Amino acid sequence: MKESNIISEIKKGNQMELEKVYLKHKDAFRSWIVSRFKITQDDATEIYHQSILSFYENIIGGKLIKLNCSIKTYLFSVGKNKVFDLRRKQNRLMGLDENTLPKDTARSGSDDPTDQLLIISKQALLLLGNPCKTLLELYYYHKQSMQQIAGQMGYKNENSTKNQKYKCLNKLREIFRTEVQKEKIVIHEV
Amino acid sequence: MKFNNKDIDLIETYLNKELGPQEEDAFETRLQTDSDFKELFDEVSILIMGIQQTGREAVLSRLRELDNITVSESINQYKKNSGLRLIRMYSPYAAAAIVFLAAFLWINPGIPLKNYSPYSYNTFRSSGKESTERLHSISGLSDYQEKDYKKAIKKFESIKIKNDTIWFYLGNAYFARYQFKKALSCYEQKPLLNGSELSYDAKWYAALSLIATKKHHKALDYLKDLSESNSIYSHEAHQLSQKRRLQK
Repeated sequence: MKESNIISEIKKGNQMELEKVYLKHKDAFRSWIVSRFKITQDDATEIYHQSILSFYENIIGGKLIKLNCSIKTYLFSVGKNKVFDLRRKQNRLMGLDENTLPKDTARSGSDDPTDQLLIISKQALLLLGNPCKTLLELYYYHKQSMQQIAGQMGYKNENSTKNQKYKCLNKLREIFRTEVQKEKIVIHEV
Repeated sequence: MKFNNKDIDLIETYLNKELGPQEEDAFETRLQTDSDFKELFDEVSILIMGIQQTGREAVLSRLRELDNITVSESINQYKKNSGLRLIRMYSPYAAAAIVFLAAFLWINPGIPLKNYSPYSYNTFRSSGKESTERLHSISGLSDYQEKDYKKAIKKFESIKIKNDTIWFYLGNAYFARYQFKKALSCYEQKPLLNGSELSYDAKWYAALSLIATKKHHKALDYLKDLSESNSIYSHEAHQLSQKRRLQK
């Protein structure tokens, strides 16, 4: 398959093409990044995951429609930037302990009400179950159109899919509110 | 605040930065003056963020699964890349590899090993019939997430009255440890198979457990059921049920 077609297939929701891209460049990417930047294999793997994820999210988000270079070159370029990000992060943290870090950085994520709400929203999604969970993920994360979702999930048409989406979101909101009440977190103060 | 579809559309448009300058100003003014709308906005924003993060984690989880590429796929990849050149160079080893491959295919009914990977935590779902047992099961689920299946089994087993979700994840934990008979007994809990939101998943993994224990005939019943369903497993179940070795 031509590389331009790969991007359009991924955009259409063909995850298999993303997996093919992942497997095709995995070894070359990791070897290159380890030898070029002297990082560990584990870091190289993580950077590859993040690079593929950026590639995917740029496609589904409409930022990457056409490439002027090969997918391999694109991934290597994204990977290089991810290594620089990683280095910057490591340099920032180097030599600092929890006491010297700014208050916001040092504190545990779970103490942050926004983090807590995010955790609850993810739990609510799990409790919501399918088919709603899949529908909402296809729409809000994978950015699939109502028409595509209708085709994938067997809904009658775009309108019924859209109605189903509202119902699912409403159901999710109810679960979320119940869970938030249990945790006694006030949303509008966050 | 009552759920209003138009408001939801408006919030989504704002979050996607698709409002014009005037509409955006009006939206932000409304956020400051209408407390109900602000509450809805805060909730919807955090819910969308949660959905997106869950989706991202699922993609990452799938990538990590791909790192553990299956034995059969590796063999195919190896054959494709190296071709006959290596077989000629290393003919005695090649012959041994062919014998091994033949033996492997004879033992394995032509089903890629990837189908035996345990159910990912990142796609965690409930049966939709949760009870108070859910709270007790959380610690088992976190062990499951950390792939400490032994610990997860211990915790799930200690729950006296198991709901469908717990049966399903207990089955998955056994499945991950290749204890297929025990996994099957969990998947085949009647309430889980019938009427649960996890019933398709349970049937799929029950079929895989049956294949692993060479009970192909019964596995085919589940696969047939799945292939005729509207579930996400229908296509794969149909393909799997067509495998010759399974038909025998």
